[in-house]
Amino acid sequence: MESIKTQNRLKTTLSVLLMVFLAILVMVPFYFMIVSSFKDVSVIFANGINVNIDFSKMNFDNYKSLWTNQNGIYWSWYKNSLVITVVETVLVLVFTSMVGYGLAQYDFKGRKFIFALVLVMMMVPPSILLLPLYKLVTQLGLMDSYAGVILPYVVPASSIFFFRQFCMGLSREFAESARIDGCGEFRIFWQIYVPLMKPAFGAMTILTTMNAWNDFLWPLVVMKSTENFVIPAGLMSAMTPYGNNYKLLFAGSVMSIVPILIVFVLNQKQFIEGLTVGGVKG
Amino acid sequence: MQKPNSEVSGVTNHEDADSRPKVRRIKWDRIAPYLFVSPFIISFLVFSLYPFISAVIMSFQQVNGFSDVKWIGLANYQQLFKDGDFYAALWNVVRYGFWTILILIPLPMLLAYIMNQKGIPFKGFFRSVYFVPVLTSSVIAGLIFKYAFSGEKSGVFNELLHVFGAGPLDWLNGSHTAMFALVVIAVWRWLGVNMIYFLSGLQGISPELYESASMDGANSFQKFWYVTIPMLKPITIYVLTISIMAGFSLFNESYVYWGAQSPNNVGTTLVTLIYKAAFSQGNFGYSCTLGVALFVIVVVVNAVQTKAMGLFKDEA
Amino acid sequence: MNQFGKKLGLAALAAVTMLSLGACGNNSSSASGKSANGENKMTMWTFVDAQGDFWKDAAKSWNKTHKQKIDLKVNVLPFDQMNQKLTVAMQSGSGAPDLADVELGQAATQLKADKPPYYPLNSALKPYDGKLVKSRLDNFSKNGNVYGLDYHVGTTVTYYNTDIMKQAGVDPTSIKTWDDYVKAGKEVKAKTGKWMNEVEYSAYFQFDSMTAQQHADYVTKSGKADLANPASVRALTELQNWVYKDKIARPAVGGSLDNDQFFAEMNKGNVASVTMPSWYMERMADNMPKLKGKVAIEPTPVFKEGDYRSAGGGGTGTMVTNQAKNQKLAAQFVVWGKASKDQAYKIWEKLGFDPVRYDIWSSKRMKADNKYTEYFGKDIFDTFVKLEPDVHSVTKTAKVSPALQDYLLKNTMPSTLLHDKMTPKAALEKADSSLN
Repeated sequence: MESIKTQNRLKTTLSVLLMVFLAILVMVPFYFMIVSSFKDVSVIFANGINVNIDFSKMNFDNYKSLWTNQNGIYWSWYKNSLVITVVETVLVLVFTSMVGYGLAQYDFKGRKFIFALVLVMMMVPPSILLLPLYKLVTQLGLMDSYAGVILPYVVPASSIFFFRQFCMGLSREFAESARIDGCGEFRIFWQIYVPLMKPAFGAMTILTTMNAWNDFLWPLVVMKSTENFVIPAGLMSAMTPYGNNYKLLFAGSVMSIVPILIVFVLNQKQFIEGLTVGGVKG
Repeated sequence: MQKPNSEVSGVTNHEDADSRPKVRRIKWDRIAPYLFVSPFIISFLVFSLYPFISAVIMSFQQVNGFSDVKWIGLANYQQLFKDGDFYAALWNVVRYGFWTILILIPLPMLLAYIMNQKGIPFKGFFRSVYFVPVLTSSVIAGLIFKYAFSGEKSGVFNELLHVFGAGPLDWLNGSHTAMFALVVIAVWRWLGVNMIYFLSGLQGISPELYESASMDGANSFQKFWYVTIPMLKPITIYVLTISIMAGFSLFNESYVYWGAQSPNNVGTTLVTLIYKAAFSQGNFGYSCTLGVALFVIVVVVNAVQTKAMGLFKDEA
Repeated sequence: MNQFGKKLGLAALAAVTMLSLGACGNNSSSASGKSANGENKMTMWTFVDAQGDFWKDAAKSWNKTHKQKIDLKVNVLPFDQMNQKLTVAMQSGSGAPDLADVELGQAATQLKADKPPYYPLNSALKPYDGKLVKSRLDNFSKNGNVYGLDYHVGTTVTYYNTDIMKQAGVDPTSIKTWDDYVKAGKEVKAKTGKWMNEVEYSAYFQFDSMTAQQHADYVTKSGKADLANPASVRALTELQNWVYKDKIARPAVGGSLDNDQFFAEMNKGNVASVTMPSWYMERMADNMPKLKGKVAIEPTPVFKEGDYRSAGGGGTGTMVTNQAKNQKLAAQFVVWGKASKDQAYKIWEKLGFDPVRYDIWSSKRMKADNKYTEYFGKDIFDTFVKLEPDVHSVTKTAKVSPALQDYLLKNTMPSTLLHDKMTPKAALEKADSSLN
């Protein structure tokens, strides 16, 4: 008995050690990001990121430059990222929850075909349509606008799939009794099923926010004026040897993680539970 | 596995619902499903199908501006088959897929297994810590790693090598080290996500299975090998699929490291090529050809994989 | 229970409103060509902050002396991104600015169509006939039309860190040939442990200038790639030897001599010399403060007697796109902005470039105090004037040029200079055979 207990304790200790070790590895880049944000950026370009810390040389200059550099262009990027993320997330949630609900809760002609399309769309990397989409957005006159960035991606297949999987687990009885009471189809959706789908909304909020906030290639292509950039594209654009925006890089990176971290912390329980509900159905 | 915490009781499963007599009283509820799925239909037609058709058309054209096009038959495709960059990119994607799968399936699985044991403290904390990297944009992660992989002696990775008496390496310019630099970001960002997938899979395994295994005298390793791994198959397949797809869509990290052009194609990916053809070279037709080729490759890979593993067997 | 649904509905409504507002807000700015007070709105894209500032200032000066006022908005983007955005905007026929700075290496891509989508500057250039260095106009010409006006001549010189040279006991003025240079490099390496130079592999300024120095070109008259010509082979061999045989140089940090990592390297005093065009003065003055007063500018060493002691390197033409709202005005503004006397002076004073307007080079104003004379001394243009007849360039705007440059960067330079995988001759021959 005693030996099993020791053995268990040993196992637990080893496990915890491994977990701590991995946790440290995972956190190391953040450590460097934060330390670098207080360093003189030219030193980083010359020497690379490294472990040397000289507190006497560290300062808040980089953070100040977020406000001073090009009249605080960083905050324009920030605003753009925020607007795009919020609008895109809300639209994605509304549209894909509708579609997912429709696919799960009704039997109708073409249902299987549409679901198959959703599956195919999940597989195809969106970048293959980079140029034709660019052409389309140009023709629609949406270049350099929020709408051009957002519209092509407001009904993502993966999110439909998620909501559909979730709704498959909800009973159709509520709808049927509501219908008998004379309730309209959209009211059934809004008033009965949307509240039932709350956990799914929680998970999708984080996932969509994360994707929208970190999206790079498409906004890079659509936005022309520097002040219309989103944060990742803006920070990339700061990396030019012919400008003087380097200071934005690391301080800007640190600041850019803040909102997404807040969303995560607020929704994390729902998220981590919800993440697997739709995605991985055995 | 799905337990929506509904305030109303009675979460029946779908099969029951299906067998129920269908209530169809007014025409409205025949139209309703189509209205519900209409956002997808519209978005699909406008933002997927139409651009796809226009990509296929442009892939047979030489495009000097959207209003100035010339039909050139299969010339773009002939160029594709001769294009050394295309094969280099394909090879990079294959290597990337190989390494990410080799690492990002066993490691998170093991981690999930450990975290799922009884008596492990601060589970929630660790879970969140492992998850934070994926919240970071790959561009920003790329920036940090780019300077950590500095070829100078003073870069983090070279300092690390120095401790072991090796290096310094010119990380981002060598074929293997460049691939390493790409894979490191992937592992760092996705470890936590994959772990959570496996964790949820583990929680779905009935404890009875382990109990009966114990009664048969299985040790921990045997239990892991004969019970856990087979039970995690569906999730493994899912993780495998998203890992393969991630390789095909790889762009951001490569673009941050090298821009649209890496020396000797050490970091070129299929999407970098699509981007470069269209945006650096203004070769619209060829960019679309690459896009169509990528589409075909992805469809084939998926078909093979689905066939081999029976993914989504019960769906659609 | 329906609270959540309501909230979501409201949020959706708000989202759609924001979206439409955002879209309108962005569109209205580009819809009309004139601002409220009748100024002509123009946008310009460039990839250098200083060049952006130069044009903002130019617009101010223009408005003081001209009737048709200009309201200029400058968008500074990184080099790659700017070219990528410009390429795709020009080809797709919308979304391009009125004016754009196009670097010489990109000019061939921009001008590749039979009728380039840019507005010819010919008539605007008329008043300045004979005052501009013609070869710099030819760079941006196609079928007799001039589509871009360069900032500078790009006189290539060799910049020496005098501290290091002194320490090594070598007088930079005594270095006349590349053989001398290698010998000096070995001295430097032995006595100071510093590199004599670093060799670019993701740029080709040095390779180009060494080819042009030998009166050679790597594009034939008929437009074929001829990279394996003896002069280019010799140039590339020289560069490879520096790294792998003589060991006086290493592959450049960051791949080129024109990037932040190398600037830092040079600023730290780790490199004794670079051979770069005149515009490198601006990079040094802005990015290498520690070298102030410690840089000697000398003619570029030659391979043999009779070679040119300089070359024209790089270049950036300001071009007027065919999407400009008032193309004629834009063309006049561009030409005035660079070729008028006062503006040409400013190109030197503000940007540190040797202006294309050649007749002012020997004037007194070029010796007046500015941050460049403070940094390099007052007689910079005495050297430049002497070298002007030696300024020749390799062809950059042939049909094959974009593919050729791409191939050089992608394959030839990395496999000969970054790695010692191929002999220059084999690498250049391979390039030719895959390009022709």
